[in-house]
Amino acid sequence: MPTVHTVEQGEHLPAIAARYGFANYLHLWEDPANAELKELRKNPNVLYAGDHVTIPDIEVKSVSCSSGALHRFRVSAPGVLLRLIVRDASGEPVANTDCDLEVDGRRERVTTDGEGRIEREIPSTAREGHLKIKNDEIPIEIDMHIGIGHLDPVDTVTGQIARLNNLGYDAGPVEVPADEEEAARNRSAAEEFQCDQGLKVDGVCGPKTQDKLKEAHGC
Amino acid sequence: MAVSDDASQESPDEASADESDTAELDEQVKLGGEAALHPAKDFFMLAVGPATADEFNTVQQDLKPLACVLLKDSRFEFDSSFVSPRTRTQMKALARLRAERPGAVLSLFGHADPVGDDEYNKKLSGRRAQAIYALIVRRTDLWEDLFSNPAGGDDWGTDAIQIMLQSLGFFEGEAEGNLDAETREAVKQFQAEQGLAVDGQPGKQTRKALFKAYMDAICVDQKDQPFELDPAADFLARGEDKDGKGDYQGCSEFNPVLVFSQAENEAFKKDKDKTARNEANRPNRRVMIFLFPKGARVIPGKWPCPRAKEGTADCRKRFYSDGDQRRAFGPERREYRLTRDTFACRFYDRFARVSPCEAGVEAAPRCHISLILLSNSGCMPLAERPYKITISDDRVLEGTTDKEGFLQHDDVPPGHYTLEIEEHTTSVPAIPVFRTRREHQVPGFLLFTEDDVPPAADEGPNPLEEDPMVAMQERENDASATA
Repeated sequence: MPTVHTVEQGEHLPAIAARYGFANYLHLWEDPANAELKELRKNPNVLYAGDHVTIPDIEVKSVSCSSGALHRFRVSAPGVLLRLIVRDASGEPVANTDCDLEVDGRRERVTTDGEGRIEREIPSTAREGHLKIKNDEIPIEIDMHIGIGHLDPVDTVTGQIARLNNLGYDAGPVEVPADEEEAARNRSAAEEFQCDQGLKVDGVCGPKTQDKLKEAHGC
Repeated sequence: MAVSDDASQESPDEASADESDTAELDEQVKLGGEAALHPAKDFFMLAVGPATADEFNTVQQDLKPLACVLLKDSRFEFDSSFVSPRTRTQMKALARLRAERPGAVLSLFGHADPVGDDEYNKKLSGRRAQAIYALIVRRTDLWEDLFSNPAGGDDWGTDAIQIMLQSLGFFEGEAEGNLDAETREAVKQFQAEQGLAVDGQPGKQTRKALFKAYMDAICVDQKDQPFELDPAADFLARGEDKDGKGDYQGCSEFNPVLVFSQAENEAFKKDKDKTARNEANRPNRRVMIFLFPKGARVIPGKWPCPRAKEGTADCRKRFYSDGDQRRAFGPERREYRLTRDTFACRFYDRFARVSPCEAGVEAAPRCHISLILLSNSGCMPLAERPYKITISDDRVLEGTTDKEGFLQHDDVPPGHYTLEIEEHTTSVPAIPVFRTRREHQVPGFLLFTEDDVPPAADEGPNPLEEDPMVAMQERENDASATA
């Protein structure tokens, strides 16, 4: 009987798949039992706490081989990437700039490419990291904790706030606004984004705003 | 050359005796009021989705001021863009802030009160911003522009000449705007000192020299030395636009810090004598100087604010969707520092929101110090160690970090403070309460010396790197050798 896993904050499908012994998350994503989830979320990397993922039974495959010989088994597992595009305050890509990137404890010096992109293959179980960039010439100063998989879908309030923050609009803490002041702050960020994008300015992240948010942010 | 501030209109806290100037500035710069650092910037978590196809995540820097200087109405002559000698105090504060934040770049925002229409007030607020900009970069031509082109009640006139001469010690009469004998004599003395033609007439050449001398007398640092900034380096738009777009602008009456109640406004309307109304409106008439991080820069073409000389059309594009309601007279009197909802311009509001000068130090985000202290390498928490943080002369916080190296202190004014932990010192920020705790590496705090580091364990061959065939052969060889 297949298990149902309830998504927790910070989980994404490749991580969930790995947890249940699947090297390839597509086994879950393509499973007909998850068709509704796939339709709703569209991006397997951006799920929402409370979503239900059906975990199919693991098919045990058996292969006959002779003993005393070496046999290679290649696991086809699509890579999971951490892909960031860094921009300065005027929206220009921060190109060819050194950064300190840490993922799950492993630290390295990386350099953004000509389009400000950082791309790193990461284990599907990676949960968090840290990004540090400091360059007074551009200028750019980033010293942020990265929550891999913590991005909520764009049709959720927290997903909208997180994207606005990432895009530099300072929408406030990534949580449902606790009081009127926080709600006003969210709206102000949303309005500023709408104004910059040439959308109707009303502070409400409706479908058009969400589409633009997703487009501008990248996912 | 004597320089005097006219303190006759001052309330005691605006008096400018030199000794109390510096002490007052210290208080101002730390605690808000008329010059302040903004709360220390902190970074939230970057929530990202990993990519299995084309997706990416954008990380974009925001443009936020790091400090502010407020020039209240009293820093200008009544209803005028002419800069009063009382501005000296604020120029000293500006110099002080730039010493604390070297290279910070400026943009100026002038504000008018709601009396008069939007367009008129846009012009007026722009003129005051222009006057301060010109002062700081010594553009006497911009002052000449303001002098020669009066706007409504804003007419510099002979009063301005008299005030300048008085400040520089050439004139001791009343600045009443009459070019009388005493004034002409003062002009002559100034002209003589400057090597100009001595005719007692404050014409263009005389004005140019007078403006410059007066600017040098007001725009001084704490040591009373004149300072000036470079329009091509020290302002947000780098002086790229000849009319100052991005460097200075007027916000008309769109961002009042005080909005009367409807009842109050009606009462003012009925009163033929507008003195009470003008006095009540004073807080709204101001110029804000925002300081941005060194290196910050905007392209004039992309900057939303129109030029100081232009109309209000572009301002409205950046209004909140309920902008006009925000600045309208309502059932109650409203003050920005209490309600935070009086500014119509969203673009400006987002800069001013955490400015102690605009929002008041009481309403600034509550800050605390919330840190996990780590060793120099950033790998190890400094657990269960005593520390000391100095907030001010009479407030020192002491404690011991917990098992995870964590410490927290609430109700700390925004800013950076010195933390001492076992002979090491570091500077730590007080951050707004809703920001997550941050990790902080203490430089120089080494937990291990080279002698302490154990030798790397022998891990054996890396199974991912070796050629399996060779490895297997080697293992077989080993096995047969030891057999």
